Parts: sequence; structure tokens; C-alpha cells
Amino acid sequence: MTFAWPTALVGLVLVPVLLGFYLWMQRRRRRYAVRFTNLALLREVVGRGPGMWRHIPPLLFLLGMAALLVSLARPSLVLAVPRDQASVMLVLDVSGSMDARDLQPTRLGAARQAAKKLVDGLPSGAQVGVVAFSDRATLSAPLSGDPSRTQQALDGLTAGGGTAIGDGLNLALDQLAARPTNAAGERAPAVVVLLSDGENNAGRPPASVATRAQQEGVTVNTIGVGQRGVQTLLNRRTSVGLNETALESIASTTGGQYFYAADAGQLEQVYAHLGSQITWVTEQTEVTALASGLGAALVTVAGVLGLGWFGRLP
Amino acid sequence: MRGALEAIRRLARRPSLIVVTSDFLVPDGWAEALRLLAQRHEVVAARLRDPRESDLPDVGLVTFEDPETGEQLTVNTSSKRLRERFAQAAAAQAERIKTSLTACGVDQVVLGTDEDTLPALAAFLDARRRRRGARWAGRRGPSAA
Repeated sequence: MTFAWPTALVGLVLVPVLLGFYLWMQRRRRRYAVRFTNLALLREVVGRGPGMWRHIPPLLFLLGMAALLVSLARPSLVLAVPRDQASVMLVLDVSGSMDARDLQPTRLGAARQAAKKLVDGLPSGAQVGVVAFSDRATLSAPLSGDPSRTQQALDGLTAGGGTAIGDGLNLALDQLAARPTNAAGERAPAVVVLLSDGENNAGRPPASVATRAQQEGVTVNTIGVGQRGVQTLLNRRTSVGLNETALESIASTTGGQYFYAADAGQLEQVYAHLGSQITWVTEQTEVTALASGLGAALVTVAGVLGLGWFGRLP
Repeated sequence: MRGALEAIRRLARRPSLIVVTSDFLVPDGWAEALRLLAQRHEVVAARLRDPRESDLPDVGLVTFEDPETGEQLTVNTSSKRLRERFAQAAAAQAERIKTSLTACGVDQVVLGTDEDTLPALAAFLDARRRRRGARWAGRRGPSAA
């Protein structure tokens, strides 16, 4: 917790002062007790009596005062706050190898499911679009605030062809470059979630596009599926397995993360994780109102309990 | 109180009227000594009662202190349940004392601390004397507390 006005914390000295006053009052009450000769009978009837409960309203009051005094110093916490704006481009590899069945039902099918769930989980103000790449990159759904277009685009993806990771990323960046600014002239944070099962064998090299992304302030998260470092033969085209190094490098250049998913379940988890990263952002938030509210609530509860239980304000 | 009653029994040679003034809340087994005393003498129990101490007021948290033992007890008098239970317990206690006294053959007169005790006591004894005849004319043994 950090404070905007730390000097105001000096006010907290009031808390031990109040506590001392309370303890002094307790002692004073014991000195000025009311004479009662039939105390033994009263003790039998009372049993344990209020016991420690009588200290609760004053304690709550003290805590409430402490919260109020802390709120004077304008505290702020690092909190997870829902991000109301985000621009997300989903970039999917639709090369021929994505028809492989090592992920259920196929690699593309699993990716489709996971991506659709991510789109569902985005906040309402988010913009999302889809780029698919095989030999070339295609804009399946432009960046828009309408998630149904994205869902439809995801449904329409079919596999076949090569792997042009660089082109796919480049097209996504073009979309994000055109994203709107809000009233304050700021642009929503831009994220790319790129999935591939192979190595770039068409179009421009991904490394240079990654640099462009970094310069434009776009975070690229990459996901790898399929066989790590193994050759598969599909449709008379030899494809080397997944090039994790390349994907890792794209992610690290742009401040994103790389993930490998071994099965559909893991893939879903990765997309979900990235989805929540997009939806929630941790930032330093001032919680003054929260602290004051808490303090006021505690003081009120102390008053209510004090009056209700013991017929007096604590 | 038992010690005092036993002392009276030794000292009072002639059958006398003995007025025992107390709140009878002393738990030291006075009943037996009182019964023996009542066998030879005419004993009247003047039970002192503080009405405040069978009826708790509704004034929130109060710390009470027993003036004899110095013990303290903090009690929430705002609890209706507590006040009622205490009133019942106090009434039951008064009943028990009355039964005890009657079993010892002793008459009871209740004197409130909020009233003038001497006139009340005098009136009681007067009425009693008239009821029983003038056998114990004026000879009063030393009062025991």
C-alpha cells in the first residue's frame, strides 16, 4: 500500500490515545462501582455476563477510526481492475498440418474452440478480429466491437497450405494500427494471440515483423502446438515440426509470453489465461473512498451494536 | 451471624424477646443456631431488604461491587431477560429465607431500607404483642445483627 499524503498518517497516533482513554475509563468504572450487597445472587443469574462482548463495540469503533485516519492519507493499492478497452487480434495458423488429430478433434478444431471461449470472455468494450494464415495471410474478421463476427470467422476457418507466420502477424498489426482512440486521445492496449504448429516457410520473416510490433507498442503472445522438432509428411510437403525458438523470440521481443499446449485441454487453459490477462489489468488504484467507506461502516456498526446490546454509544 | 446467635444463647439467661436484624443473606448456616435460640426465647427476624437490590434498573453497563468482599461484577442491565431472571431469583430467595425462618419457629417482619425502620419495627412488635397477650412485657434481649 502506498500513500499520496503520507504525513497524514501522523493522525494514527489518535488510535493509541483513544485506546488509553478507554482503558482508563474501564479502570475508573471499577473504582466507582455501585454498591450491591446481593452480588452473589446476581452473579448466579448473570452467569458469564457480557464478558468480552462488551469490548466489541469500542473495538470496532477504534478500528473504524483507524480506517478513517488511514483514508486521510489517500492510500492506493495495486489491484486487478477490469480493463474496459482492449484491442485483440487472434492470429491462427491454418496450414495443412493443422488438420492433424494429435489435438482433439483436430489442431484447428481445438484452437477454434479455445479461441471462441476467449472471445466470449472479453469485456464488452473490447475490439477483436481474426487473421488466418497459410500460404498467405487473410483477414477473416476485421477488428470490431462485434464479437459475433469474430465467432463466425473462427467457425469458417479451414486448413490447407503453408505457414506464413510473418505475414499473419503483419496483417494483424495493420488492423491494430487503425484502432480507434478514445475521448482522451488514448489508444486501447493492443494484444495479438498468435497460434502456430510449424515454422515459417512463406512470406516475410517473422523476426522483422516482431520488431515492428514492438515499435508500435503491441504485445504479441504466441502459442505453439503440435510436434516439437519432428518432421511430418502431409500432402507431399515436408513440414518441419514446431519452431518454438522463433515463437519464443516473437513473444519476448514484444513483451509477450510463449506457451506450448500438448492437448486441447491445455490449449483451452492457455487461451483462457491470455483472455483474463486482457480483461484484467493490475494497476495502482487509489482506494481512499474504500478506506473511508470501511471506516464509516465500522463506526456505524459499533454504534448500532453498542446501542442495541448495551444501551449506549461505545 | 451464627457466632453472634450462639453468643446470645449463652448470654441470655432468662427467656426474652430477641429481635434479629439482618438481611439473612449470610451463608454460614445460621438456621440451626436460630432454631436452638427460638426454643428458649421468643425470636423475631427483622429482615432488611433493599428494594433496589431485587429490581435492577435499565441503565446499560454497570459495575457492581460487593461491599463486604470487594468483588466486582460488570453487568448489562439493559437486558430485559436479565432483569426478569434476577427479579425471579430474588423473589425465590426471599421465599427460601421465609421458609427457613418459619421452620425455625421465627416470625419475620420485612423492613425496607427505603423506609424508616424503627417505627415499622415498633408497629410490628406492638401488633404482635396484642395478638399474643402481654406476656413479654417490654423485656427485649440484645439485638443480634
